Amino acid sequence: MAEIRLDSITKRFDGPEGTILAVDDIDLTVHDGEFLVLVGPSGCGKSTTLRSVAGLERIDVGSIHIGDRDVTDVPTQDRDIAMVFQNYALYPHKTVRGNMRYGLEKSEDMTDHEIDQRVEDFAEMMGITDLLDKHPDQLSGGQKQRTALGRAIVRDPKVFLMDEPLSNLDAKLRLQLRTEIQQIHTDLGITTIYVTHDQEEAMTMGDRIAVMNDGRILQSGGPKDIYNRPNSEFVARFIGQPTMNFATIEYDGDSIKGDVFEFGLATDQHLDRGEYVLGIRPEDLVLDPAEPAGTATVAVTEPTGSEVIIYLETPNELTLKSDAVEEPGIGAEVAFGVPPEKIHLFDPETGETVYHGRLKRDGFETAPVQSVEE
Amino acid sequence: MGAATRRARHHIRRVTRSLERRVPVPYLLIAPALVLLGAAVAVPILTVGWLSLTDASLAGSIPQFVGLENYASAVVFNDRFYNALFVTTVFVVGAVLSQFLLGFGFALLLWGRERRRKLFMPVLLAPMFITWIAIGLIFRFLLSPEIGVVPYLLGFVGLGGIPWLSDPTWAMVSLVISDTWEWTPFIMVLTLAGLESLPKAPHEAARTDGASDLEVFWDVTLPLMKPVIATALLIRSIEASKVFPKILGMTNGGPGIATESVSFLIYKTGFTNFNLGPAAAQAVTVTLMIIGLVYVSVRMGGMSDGS
Repeated sequence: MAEIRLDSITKRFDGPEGTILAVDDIDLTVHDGEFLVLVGPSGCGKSTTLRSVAGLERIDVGSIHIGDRDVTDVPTQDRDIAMVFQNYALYPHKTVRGNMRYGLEKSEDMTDHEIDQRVEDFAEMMGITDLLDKHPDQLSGGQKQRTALGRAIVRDPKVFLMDEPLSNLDAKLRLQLRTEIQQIHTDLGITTIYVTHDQEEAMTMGDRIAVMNDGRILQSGGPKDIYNRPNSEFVARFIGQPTMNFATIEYDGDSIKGDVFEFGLATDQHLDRGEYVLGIRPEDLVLDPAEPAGTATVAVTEPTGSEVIIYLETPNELTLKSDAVEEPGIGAEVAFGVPPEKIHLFDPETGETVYHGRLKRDGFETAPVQSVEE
Repeated sequence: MGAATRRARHHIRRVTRSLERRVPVPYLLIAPALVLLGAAVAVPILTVGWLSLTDASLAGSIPQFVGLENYASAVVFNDRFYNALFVTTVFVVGAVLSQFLLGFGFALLLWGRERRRKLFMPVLLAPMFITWIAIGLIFRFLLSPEIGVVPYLLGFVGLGGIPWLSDPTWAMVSLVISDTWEWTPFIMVLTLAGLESLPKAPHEAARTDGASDLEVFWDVTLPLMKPVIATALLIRSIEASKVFPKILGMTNGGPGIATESVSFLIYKTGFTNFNLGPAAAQAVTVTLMIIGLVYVSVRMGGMSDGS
């Protein structure tokens, strides 16, 4: 087990259309035994970051430490890592057993018998004992990824690297394997970096999440932390489903005025007057409150069982999540409230967060923005 | 769809069906191709088969049926035929092996190196564009003891006296070298295409599993390349077993019969000695042998998937 430390790493690719800066000066520490999720839209550099840790990409600037060892110039095979790939990357000419044995044969001083024993133990753990003598082309997607996971954990590496391991699986299997991966992590406690573009996966799996865009880490922190206190409009928009509502507003010192709503916000010492982008989570909007901020027509409703998601016909298409027992019909005129203690305000130019509502602040402190960057 | 269209379609279907009952439409449609194929392939093969059972000659009278006599005299009890088989085998093994090692080696050097490939590919491919008989002549001049540039250059390191084309062993070596020169690019192109189409992920997985570069090559690349390699070797072996223009250009089968391959022997029997019947018998025998070998090697696997 080991800590992973990335010190200002940069990776460029020379493409036909010039140089692409895939990873732009990233600092990141993954603590011993931590499950860190790198999440971001495709092309944000998360996979390149992971592959740099694996040594499959050579970084141009910076250094990478695994444990106390500087592995910046150490080839992949000597880094003592195990990786799980999106497309499984099983050896097609080897059986499941052969796939799982291979790493042990290469890197451990074990007798054949010990290897067999170990492979069988971990195959049982992954529930693939019956498949040991099959070839990858005889397996389903789920079985393949189980084998790939088995091949990774059987090695007992210092570090686990997972590159979108669940993206090729169907929804049900994804949920199932998500739980299993978490279980494995709890059991083995191996430092893990997990790359995904799925914010839900990131939220449910990570001890800590690092949100990436354009080769940079925008924010890292616990899932709740990032959900409640995004440090930029991008993070706020990327994390959370349905997406946070955004609207351009004007703050005049004691109230916030938007296109279709207006509500009071007592003078706050940390907020200057001016134009901002307001963000509020769908579940923080209130249906039929005592003090409505505005009214709008219901465009669509999506009942999910316990809750209903209501899309309002407003210029910014406000989304409202409510546990109301009686959902309003389509076309109905409803009143909604914007609780000032739950809003976020972003700088319209830079997109950075300038204000969190009182309940969104860490421990109700008065400081407006919490920097959660490492 | 309107009712009229539906009715029309129904009608067409009914006409087609009744037509099919009276005329074997599918066979009618492939008949032209079959006739062409028959004229180009079946007729010559059958003719050779028939000739091998006669005393046909380029000079002389109408061929008489002689049964299996040609097979006895020109094949079974003919030391020269066995010599030709031996020569051909040595040539095939030597040439295919060396061009495979070289070609695959070059492919590995160019694998994944775009810039390197653009630079070297045209040069490495050049031998493939040269006519077969020209290659034979080029090498004959290159190796000629009087005017050849190879003996001249080797003379500076004291190896000028190698009897490239006049010694039985060296003549074979010369043939193998020229064939290797000609066909290495083919193996290179084929295996490079194979290498480029290999999935990257298992290679990366092997490295994360702790395998060194050589181990990755041996445990992942080579097994995945098995079908491509088997195909390349098979194609080249069949092709090389028919070697002819090179021999005609370089050694003329000599010295003596040291480089007389089966194709060359058949040519000599048929067109130098005018014995068409015996030549046909030899040709039929060699063809059957090659078909047999191909069948065995395909059945032995390798051509299927890499398991």
